Amino acid sequence: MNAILSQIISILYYALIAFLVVLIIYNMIKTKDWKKEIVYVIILIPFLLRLFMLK
Amino acid sequence: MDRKDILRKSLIGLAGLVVMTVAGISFYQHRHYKEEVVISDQVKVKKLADYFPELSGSVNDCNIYMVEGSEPGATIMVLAGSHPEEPAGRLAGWILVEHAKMQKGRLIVVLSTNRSGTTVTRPSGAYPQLYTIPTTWGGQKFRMGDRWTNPLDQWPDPEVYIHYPSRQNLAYMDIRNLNRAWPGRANGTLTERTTFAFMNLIRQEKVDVVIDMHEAELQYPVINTIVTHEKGQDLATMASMTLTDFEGFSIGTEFSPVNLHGLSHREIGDHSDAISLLLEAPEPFLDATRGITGEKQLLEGKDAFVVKAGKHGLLYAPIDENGWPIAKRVGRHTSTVLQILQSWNEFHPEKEIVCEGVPKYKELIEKGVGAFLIDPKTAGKGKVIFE
Amino acid sequence: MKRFNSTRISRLLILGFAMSLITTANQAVAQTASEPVLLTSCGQSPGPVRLKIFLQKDAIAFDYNLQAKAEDLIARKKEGKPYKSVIIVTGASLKGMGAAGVSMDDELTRTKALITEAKKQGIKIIGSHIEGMARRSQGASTGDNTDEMSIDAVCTVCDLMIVKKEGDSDGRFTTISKGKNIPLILFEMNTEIEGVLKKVFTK
Repeated sequence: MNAILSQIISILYYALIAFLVVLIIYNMIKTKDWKKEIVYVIILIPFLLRLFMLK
Repeated sequence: MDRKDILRKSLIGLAGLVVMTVAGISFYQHRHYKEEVVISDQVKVKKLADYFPELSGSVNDCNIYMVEGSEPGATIMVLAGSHPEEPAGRLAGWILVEHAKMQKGRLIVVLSTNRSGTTVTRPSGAYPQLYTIPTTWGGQKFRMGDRWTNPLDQWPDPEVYIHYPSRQNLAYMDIRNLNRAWPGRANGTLTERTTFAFMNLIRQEKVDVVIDMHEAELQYPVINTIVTHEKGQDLATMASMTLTDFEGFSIGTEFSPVNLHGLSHREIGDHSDAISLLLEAPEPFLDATRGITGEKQLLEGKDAFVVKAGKHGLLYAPIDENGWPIAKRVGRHTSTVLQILQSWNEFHPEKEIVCEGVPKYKELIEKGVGAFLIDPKTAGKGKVIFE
Repeated sequence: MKRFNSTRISRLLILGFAMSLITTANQAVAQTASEPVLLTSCGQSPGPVRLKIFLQKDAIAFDYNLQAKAEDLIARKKEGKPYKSVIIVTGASLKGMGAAGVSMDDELTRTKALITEAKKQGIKIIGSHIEGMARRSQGASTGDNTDEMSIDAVCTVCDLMIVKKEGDSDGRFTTISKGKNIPLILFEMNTEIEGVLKKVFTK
């Protein structure tokens, strides 16, 4: 039961990451400030690395 | 959004993608790097899943090296890589596997007790991903690891980690710390299932003594010592006294606190018939006051900032400009393991364990760790195992 | 005149020789003790285990009780099997005291009562420091002087000291020995403890 619950929570967290990736990309496209664009891309990198299960 | 905006965003996005790709490739290569171990005819290799099939195929289904003598005797198990950011234990284990020749009894060695932890380095820690031990044949590379299970294998962490079965509250990230997850459980996290499998191994193989090899920062009070379960007090004390007298280095003993749960020296002793011991050697690389983190510092053990901390009375082990080179740390571990075997024989002459061929402290300092790593290219067919 | 002087000198020489024999004998007696022994701690350090191993090896009759109280001495006396010696190993471990659920003050109170009862019963008190400088305040964290408190509580009032020489590198125990006229046995290597105990508890 514990293992199944843990797996469900893990999947939910990855879904959360995916949602945040979409949110960051959306905000990066929307903004007109190039400095913010750079910040969004920097923040995006670790989220993508986790989503693609690299780090 | 005009063309200029699109171009700018695309360029910035592309730059980010390049950074992510470069980083991602290095993380992937690190996680899948194959470390080579050369085994002799006396060594049999099993898998941890042989003792708990549910672990089969998982990242923590590690190799179990069994070196058995021609005569029966005691069984001693040596764990390395419980904390993969502590390389001296793994390297000492490597030397044991590649060189131990058992006359009596059995030696069981694990090189990647928390194999998942060897596939990741500390986030924001600036750890080197690989380190190279120089050898006469060019050098052997090893994965540098982290203290905890890779979050790719076990994530997220809870707010509070409630240890099973004591129900003691421990720090949240310690749910991925193998040395806080003993004795484990069958339906727990990956880390708990790993320790559960090891407990099965210990009971099924009737292990007499378990030795867990670690390193610690010099600011940590439990250092240069053998931590012992109450069952092993005489054994650890005898080993400590003899080493201090005859081996050229001082090592103390500490008693495993009865009320601190999850650690190998407590739980293995409580939940099996085995005596559980844990060895600590100094690793300046782990000190919070350290300077530049890197492979050089990891292997040479030199750090001017840690030396300065020593001068301010903040350390529990001495350090000078010569540092704590890896050969010294590995030598402490191999000598301590060998002395524990000898001291065991003094207390248990009816069930001896006799091991030859393993270099001790002075020999390792003199010749270096690399002198005792066997070139995989010279190994016979089927004699190179990958970690 | 000549005969008077030679007789007097002879008498003085005989007296001096006799006195030196008595002093040597006294010193020898001062450095011995009898079984059965109570082995205990003041500070809950791992040190007593070292002595336990060698007491066992030397087949010296002893009881091992890290939190021995005055009441234990009284109980043994009532049973008709009183302890003849008590070894109190000094050196404090905050971990050990934590595990035992005691504070340094508790240790000092218990040890004081134990020593008082031992003196009352004529039990020989052996103060010991086994672990070297690692178990002296110089090896502890800044501001922690619990090792020295345990040494003061025991070694200044005991009948004999057994100390690892490295732990006396600042002359602490030698100073106590000279100032309080307490015999001091120093040993260099841990493995010498076996021989020291054999000599002290000569059957």
